[in-house]
Amino acid sequence: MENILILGNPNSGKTLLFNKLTGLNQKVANFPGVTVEIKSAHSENLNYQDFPGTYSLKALTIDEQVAIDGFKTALLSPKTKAAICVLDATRLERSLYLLLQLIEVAKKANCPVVAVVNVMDELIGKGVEINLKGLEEELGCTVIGTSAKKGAGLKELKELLKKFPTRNQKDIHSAEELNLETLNTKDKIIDFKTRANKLSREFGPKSGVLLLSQHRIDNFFLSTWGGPIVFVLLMLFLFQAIFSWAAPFMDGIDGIISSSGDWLASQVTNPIAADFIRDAMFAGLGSFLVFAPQIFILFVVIGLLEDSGYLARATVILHKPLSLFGLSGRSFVPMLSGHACAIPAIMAARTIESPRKRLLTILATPFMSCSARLPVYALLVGGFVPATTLLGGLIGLQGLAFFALFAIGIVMGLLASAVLDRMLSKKVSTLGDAPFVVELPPYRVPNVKPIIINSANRTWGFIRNAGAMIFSVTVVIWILGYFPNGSGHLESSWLGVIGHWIEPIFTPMGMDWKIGVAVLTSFLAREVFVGTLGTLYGIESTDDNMGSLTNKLQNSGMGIASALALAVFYSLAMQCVSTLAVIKKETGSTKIPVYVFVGMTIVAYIAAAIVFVAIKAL
Amino acid sequence: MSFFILTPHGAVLIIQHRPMKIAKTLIQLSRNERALITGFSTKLSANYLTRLRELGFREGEFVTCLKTPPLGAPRVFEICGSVFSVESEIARECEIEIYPAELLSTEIQ
Repeated sequence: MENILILGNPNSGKTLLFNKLTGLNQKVANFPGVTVEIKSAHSENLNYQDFPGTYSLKALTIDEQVAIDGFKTALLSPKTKAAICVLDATRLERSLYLLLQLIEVAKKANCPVVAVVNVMDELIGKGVEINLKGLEEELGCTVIGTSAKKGAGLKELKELLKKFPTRNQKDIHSAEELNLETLNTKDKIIDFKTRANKLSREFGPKSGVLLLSQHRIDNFFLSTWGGPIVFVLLMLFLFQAIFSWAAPFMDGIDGIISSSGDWLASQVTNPIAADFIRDAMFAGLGSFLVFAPQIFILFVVIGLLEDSGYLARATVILHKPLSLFGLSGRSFVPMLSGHACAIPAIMAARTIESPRKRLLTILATPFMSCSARLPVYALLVGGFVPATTLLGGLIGLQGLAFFALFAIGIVMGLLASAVLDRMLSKKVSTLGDAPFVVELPPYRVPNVKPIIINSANRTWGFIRNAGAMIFSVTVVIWILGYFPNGSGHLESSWLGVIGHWIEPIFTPMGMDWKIGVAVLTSFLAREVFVGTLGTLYGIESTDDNMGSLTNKLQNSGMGIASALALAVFYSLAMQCVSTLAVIKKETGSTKIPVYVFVGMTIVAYIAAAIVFVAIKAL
Repeated sequence: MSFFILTPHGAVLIIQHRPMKIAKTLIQLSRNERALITGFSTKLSANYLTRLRELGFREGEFVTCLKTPPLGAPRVFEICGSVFSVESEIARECEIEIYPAELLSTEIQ
């Protein structure tokens, strides 16, 4: 199968085009640097490759290096049929610079280039024109106008790509002589830029019209008072939304799981099998599924923020404050994404301009409260913080407690970064490889449908991945907790014996042996905690009705001091093997993930013990 | 040089004659002011220069300061139809000549 390369500037709509051409749902957003690795998928006998965005064929950041190395390799492959260069019609001149470089390089390898002028819908919406025919004649390559968002022009693009002939071996050999460095001399840069400027002025839209609406909104979002206030309100809204909007859905799922478990168990005559269905399958795995709506809403709200174009403004506003902690404004995007999942967030740090700031961002990101912590927070906040409201019903106390738990992670992440910045060897450069120059994309009304689909896919992926691990752990926990004496005798079970043995470790944090066992099992992955606890309380209960885990926890004698200590422990501890693996991959060091694991666990233990003692003393 | 004129309504009209061009750096460009990029300090690394030029910050190009955001955030500039936020340390090394939109500016006190 032949390859079609999709290249272009950051935030020009490459991934949206890739999704539309292949039918996939890769993550898209309205800020530069969302794609940091090459992704491929096939459709109609063509394999499309989505490259990370790059401003030119000179790499200054790791994601750009991935794109340029990938492009060079692809030109040497006979499987490469053509390259698409995606241009943003609203910022044509900047896009043309890369296109001119691509045309020059691809010509040497006889690889056809198609210029796809994307975001045409915005030009049409504002009554602005662009001369695609004139551009095509001047550039000497095919130019197609598209709107990946609306699906316009894609049929013509697909038809055109099919028509390109297979490149012959002679062309591939000549490509081996490619030297991209010749493109990056001062004279060449000025030449490309002058030509891009001329083409843009002659055939492109008048930028003033397009920038006017952007300026009006920026006057508010980047104003002295409006900027910081809007930022804080948006973050508060994010956490309120997670807790308030998800509640009815969570209650619904809880009810379905409880009644399904009770019904299925009542159909089974073997008492051990019935106990297994009720306590391991439904109380264990089911307790985790209840929190899926919160995870989904978290993904949706972050998706809306990403797609609106606001995140680039937040990056600018936060650059100075974050630099006090050794970070960059660009660290904000990985840190915000870290609230969904640390793994892609750590990879997103590739766009950060300096190696030192990138390393500090990687180390601070695991402190952000990811979606796997959400079930634990929701369980403890829902069970132990009163459901009262403040400011005339505007803010819920539970939402505020949620915000506080997230804030603890953010503050500790920043403090850890500041401390590590002072401890880090001077060998890790403070100088950036690239300047801090952030492009502010136009504001756009978020494309809700792809955000919903992407959020649903990510939530389902999260459940699927975590579900297998949770099920395995709950089965082991159930066997150890059920035998030798059966249901209702948890204290005298094998697990009870082990639990009492390890209990002294958890006593300073106000936790009993059952919580201790759940904490230990969750060092594989945080989401295991709720499942383990569900199984444990399921075995302990002699009642045939399942009931909610929150009620069981409230009736267990656990106090507010233990609950908050546990929540703080979860907000700070490193309990994710996959995150440690990605830190190892991104830093190229085995020691760093070990330090992260040990450091975060010690900090979490001490902080939880302090919280427990302090609340008890009040 | 400034001229003071007393209007019939009693207000003082100040007509200020600014020089044709003022050599400064990008960090000194005030909001809504427009300038011509004339060069870059030798303190900027080759990588930085390359990236700035790729984005449009090159000699002979006009740049407008759009915003001076809060919290000491990097200033926002418009160049070649795109909007960029440029770190102060970088803006300080970018040499410009300010060309006032009108050579005579009028202020009423």
